[in-house]
Amino acid sequence: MINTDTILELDGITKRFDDVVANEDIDLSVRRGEVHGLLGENGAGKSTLMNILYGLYSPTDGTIRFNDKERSFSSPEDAIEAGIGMVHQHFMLIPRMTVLENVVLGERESPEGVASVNGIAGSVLGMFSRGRETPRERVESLAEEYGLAVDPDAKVWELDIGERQRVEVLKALYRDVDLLILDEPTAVLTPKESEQMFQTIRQLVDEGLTVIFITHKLWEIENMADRVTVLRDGRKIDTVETESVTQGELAEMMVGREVLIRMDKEPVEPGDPVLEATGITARDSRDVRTLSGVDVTVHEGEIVGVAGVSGNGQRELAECLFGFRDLENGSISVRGEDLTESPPKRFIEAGVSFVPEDRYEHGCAPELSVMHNSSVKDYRNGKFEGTAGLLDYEKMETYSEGLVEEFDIRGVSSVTETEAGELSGGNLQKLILGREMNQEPNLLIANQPTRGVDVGAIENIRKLMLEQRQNGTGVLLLSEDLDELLDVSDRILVIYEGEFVHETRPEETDKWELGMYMSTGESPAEENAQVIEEIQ
Amino acid sequence: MSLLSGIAESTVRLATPLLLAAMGEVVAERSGVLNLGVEGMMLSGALVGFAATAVTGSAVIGFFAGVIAGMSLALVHAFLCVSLKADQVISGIMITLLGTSLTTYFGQSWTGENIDGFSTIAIPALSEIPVIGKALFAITILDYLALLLVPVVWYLLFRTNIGAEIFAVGEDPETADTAGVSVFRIQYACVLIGGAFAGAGGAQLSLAFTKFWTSEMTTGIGWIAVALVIFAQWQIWRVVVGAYLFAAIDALSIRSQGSVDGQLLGQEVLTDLVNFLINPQVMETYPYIATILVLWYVMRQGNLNELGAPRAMLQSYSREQD
Repeated sequence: MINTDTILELDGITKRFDDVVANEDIDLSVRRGEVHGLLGENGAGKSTLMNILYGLYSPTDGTIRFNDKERSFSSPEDAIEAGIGMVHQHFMLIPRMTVLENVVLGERESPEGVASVNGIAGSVLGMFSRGRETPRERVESLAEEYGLAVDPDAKVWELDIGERQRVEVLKALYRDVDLLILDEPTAVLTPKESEQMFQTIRQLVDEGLTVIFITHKLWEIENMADRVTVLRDGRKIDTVETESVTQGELAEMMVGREVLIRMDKEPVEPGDPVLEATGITARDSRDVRTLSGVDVTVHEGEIVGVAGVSGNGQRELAECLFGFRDLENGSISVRGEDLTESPPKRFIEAGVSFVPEDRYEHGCAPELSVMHNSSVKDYRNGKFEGTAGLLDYEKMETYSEGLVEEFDIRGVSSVTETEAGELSGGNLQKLILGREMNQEPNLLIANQPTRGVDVGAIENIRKLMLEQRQNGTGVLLLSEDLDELLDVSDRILVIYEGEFVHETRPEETDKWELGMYMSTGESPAEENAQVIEEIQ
Repeated sequence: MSLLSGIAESTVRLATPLLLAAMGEVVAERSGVLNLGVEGMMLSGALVGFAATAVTGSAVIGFFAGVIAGMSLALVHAFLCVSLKADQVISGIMITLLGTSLTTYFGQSWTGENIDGFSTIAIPALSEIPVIGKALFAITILDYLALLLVPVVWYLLFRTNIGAEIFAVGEDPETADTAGVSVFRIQYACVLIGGAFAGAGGAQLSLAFTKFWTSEMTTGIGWIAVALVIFAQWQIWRVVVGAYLFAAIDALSIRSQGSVDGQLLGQEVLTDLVNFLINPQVMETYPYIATILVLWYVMRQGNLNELGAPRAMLQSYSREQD
């Protein structure tokens, strides 16, 4: 029975990559004009399923019906032709091209006059000419209509993240799609930009578009979706009306067990200081001073949280404290040993572990195997020593397998074969954390360890940090997630424009106060209170 | 005066194969495929062009045979690199070695033969201009063709939809693919264009320049073309400037006696230095040194983006490899 209200019907979609089953027998039915949420943990197979729908992957098995016709898309070109648009999780834009060029890429817009020529002559002319005036007007009017303001002649590399996201949406709208797939569209956006994004989605749906919204954030589903389909381990769990479920129930469906979002932490008496940094001054990669004289002390068994809006010097602070960035001024000592101006190797030897903000760029070697990545901090210390000064790969393999097991890293078919870069974001983060924590560090510096990671993994990561604290490790946690900071920290420092403007304890403060310090650098004044409340 | 006009004349003629090969290389590299087989493709263009001319008696047929010879080797390169995702550097070098040895072997029987080839076409009045007249307006049809192709290639790359697609594929094939561009077709087409241009450059050498065949007659022009593309930072107009600059150095080195008579400024050291610098063998290194200087100058500022290299060059793209 085909219901004309159904725009898309996936039936028994299965996708295997060699031995790994990414999607297994998934049925999905999407109604015309709804926002359909697709919820699942990292690695649950959401993106794979949508890439199949978009013609990037071909399914091993199963059928796709779209707009009442059975389809098989062999390329994105076919999917676009049929009326499906997709905004990918990682931006699909060419930074060195202008916004307009990015939007019309692949459409072969001809100048007026040429556009009216049909047949082969027309398509040849379309290739060897270029029309930009009509497209520009169309882009401008679309941008105006949907509040997606962006300069069509700006180069994409000049745009900030929010603007790039708008270009992505424009690109899809320009192609007159009936169904728009958004793959974690808010993952990189600030709360305000996300709100704008939601506004745009609502407007699109009002005008008859259908939207599939991929996310692992429960509140976004509750806010945006009419219905939601939950995937877990490549299988479909259920499709439900959003109104009929609670966030807790959704979380349970997604993770497969009850999720503790709040942690209970046992009191630990802080010991001697492990990290003492004073007067840290540093510049960022563009040579702008981003840290001006910062002092931090972290004690044994203490988690110190650093709260701040992204770009206020957190990254530079984390990198300085690991010897990864040169100090302009100031001194750093770890357990009394002066490490000012030392290279990262000395920090590692002093027992400092580091979880960088960018896990692909600095946290791993994406093209090396899971085994290589998990042992990259241990190969020097004799742990894997074999005969004749060579490394014993069997020891490394066993160790790595243990790590995968212990930290529940999924998507690894073989530690020697699977590349770190093939893991989903959350699982890669678990690998990095596992590697760093197995060092039994004196000090752990973690920069945004749970960003872009799903609920189940967040729970694990927070637990791991609390365990470290129990073992007497000092933890410096830089995070934008205030709930996280309030939950696990013993002390919270607020960073604003490269300086600490406030120090407090979780039990003495709340999100509202922290948010105020973070965004203004000053203590909350009464007249601002209402504004903040509205934002929240 | 006659020395200058002689140098100008050989500069233009020497620039043609370099210009053709380098323009083809720009097209291929802009689609993300490095082609180090240029030298081999030029040699096969030169030999096949020469043989076809000798057999048919028509230089035009010979020229097109040379172009097709270049394209055939390019097809091998495209098949290995685009379809099979082989390493572009290895495939390219293999093709140069293959082209060199095949032409050396099959070229034996053609060595010593002569053909009429392409003759110069002098444009009345213009060719009478002193110094540059003969150089620019009394050249063969192939030299005119190379110059004519400059704006054509520029237009193709920078003013057409297909040009934008080539750029996008060279920058980020995955993004191009998701926008509905066929990465496969674009890369094949660009590599084939590169091969055709290299073959044409080789054919110009044997049909219009020397009018005889000798093994390894390209003497490294293919490699200079590869360097020239970097020197020109993948810009067509800079390729033209570079091609003439490198050709002028070449023209000078051919005419250079390799020694200066007498004492220069009365200083023996200086005379020795000048003698060293104008030694033909030393002068042959100038194009490469110039390329290194450009690399140094650009990279000194910090990043690869400013060099202008297509970002996805050397990467092979396949969809299901996430």
